[in-house]
Amino acid sequence: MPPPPADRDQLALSELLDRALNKGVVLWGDATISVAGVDLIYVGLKVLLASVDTAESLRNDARTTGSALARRR
Amino acid sequence: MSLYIYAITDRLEQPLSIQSGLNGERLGQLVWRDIAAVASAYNGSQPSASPENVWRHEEVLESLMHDRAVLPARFGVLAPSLQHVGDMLDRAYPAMVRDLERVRAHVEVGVRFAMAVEAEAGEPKSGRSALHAGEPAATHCRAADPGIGPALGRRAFGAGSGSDYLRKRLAQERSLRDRQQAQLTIIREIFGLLAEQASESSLEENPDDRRRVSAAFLVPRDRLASFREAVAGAANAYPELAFLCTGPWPPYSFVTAGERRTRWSECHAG
Amino acid sequence: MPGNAAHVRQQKVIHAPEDQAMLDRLACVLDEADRATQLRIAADPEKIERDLARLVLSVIELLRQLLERQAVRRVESGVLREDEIERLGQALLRLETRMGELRAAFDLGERELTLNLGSLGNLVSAFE
Repeated sequence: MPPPPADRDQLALSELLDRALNKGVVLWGDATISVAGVDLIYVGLKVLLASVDTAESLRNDARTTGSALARRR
Repeated sequence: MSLYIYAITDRLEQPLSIQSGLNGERLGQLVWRDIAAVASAYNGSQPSASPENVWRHEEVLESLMHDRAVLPARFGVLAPSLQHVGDMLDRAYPAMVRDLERVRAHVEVGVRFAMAVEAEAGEPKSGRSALHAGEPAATHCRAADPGIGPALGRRAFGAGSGSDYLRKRLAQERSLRDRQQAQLTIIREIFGLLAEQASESSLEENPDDRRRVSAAFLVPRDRLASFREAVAGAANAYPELAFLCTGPWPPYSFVTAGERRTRWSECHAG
Repeated sequence: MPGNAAHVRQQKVIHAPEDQAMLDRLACVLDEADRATQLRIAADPEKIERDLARLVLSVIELLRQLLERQAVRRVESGVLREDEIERLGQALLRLETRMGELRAAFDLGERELTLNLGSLGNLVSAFE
């Protein structure tokens, strides 16, 4: 028996969220705001792993995210 | 007041197929040479990623896709002014034209595999439980200790239980590893079959979260039906493998212009 | 049909497992993947205390798993003496028992203690 409609809707939503929130064209650094604990670690480790060229744009992202969070407090 | 960006599209003379976006705001286009950015006015700070808002974003994209090539923007992209949008379109112009050409008349289909990387459903993953499998629920530890003290030092485990514990854990890890390897082989095979039906495909085997293996396919719209058949075929051939296939989606995973997120696969290869 | 909102939301699932157990497994993986996303969407003040406990215990659990994984590797590679294996195993067994008690005290299941770091995945596996 196929999964009930509610489940299918939930699955579709999960898939949509994964795409719309993590993929697609990003035009400016402050497109993503996330919970501080997760993304600060994320950005920090990204800087370690990424090449020097992309590190600059990542630092800019972190600054933007940090200031956005500070404003929200 | 900001501009909420939905997508970069072809520049066409005919009007947009959809009138409004988030918060019922009217949709407009900023055109630059042969491309356009579709946007609506947005008041306030970051739009919340509620199902309502995200579906609305998606609806705009799907409507646009009926008559033009679309590069979906990530949800929540706000531009401070028309000037910013214009600058961005100018800077990224060649990349966007290339991307639009690649995705023209294509849709994205996603497949997400869930590998069994843990103990079977219902079985706890603790080695301690594996140690006492089959014994009654009253725990081994408490039997020797009438007053259950919090201090770890007072716990009395039987002689040899330390080695047993570790060896059982080792056996568990090995069996998990073998099962995972077998599943990965099947997944790669299915991926190969489906990739034949697509113009582009990607497989993310993320070693950090071993259960997550996901694939994205850029499928020509007129091949979607045969792609669905191939998916059904794979499901029949491998009933023991759980996977979820969804689509058609706008080509979120196949845009490169303005990409800032460092994909794991790129880091890993570098 | 352009602009037909209801139509867009339907029929997105091309294939899903029909077996409930498999569906549950899939849902679990998706839930974990979405956890970081979900945290963005809603920060419920009433759940904050429980979420804090979950966060703290997740970090401890992460370290415990790392330690255990290292120990298992050592056993596998054959560099440990028998008495070392026994001592190590006893210590880890105590640790795991204690962890179970802490979880029970906060009414948290095993599955709730996974730290998901978005596209960097599960930090535990990163150090394998």
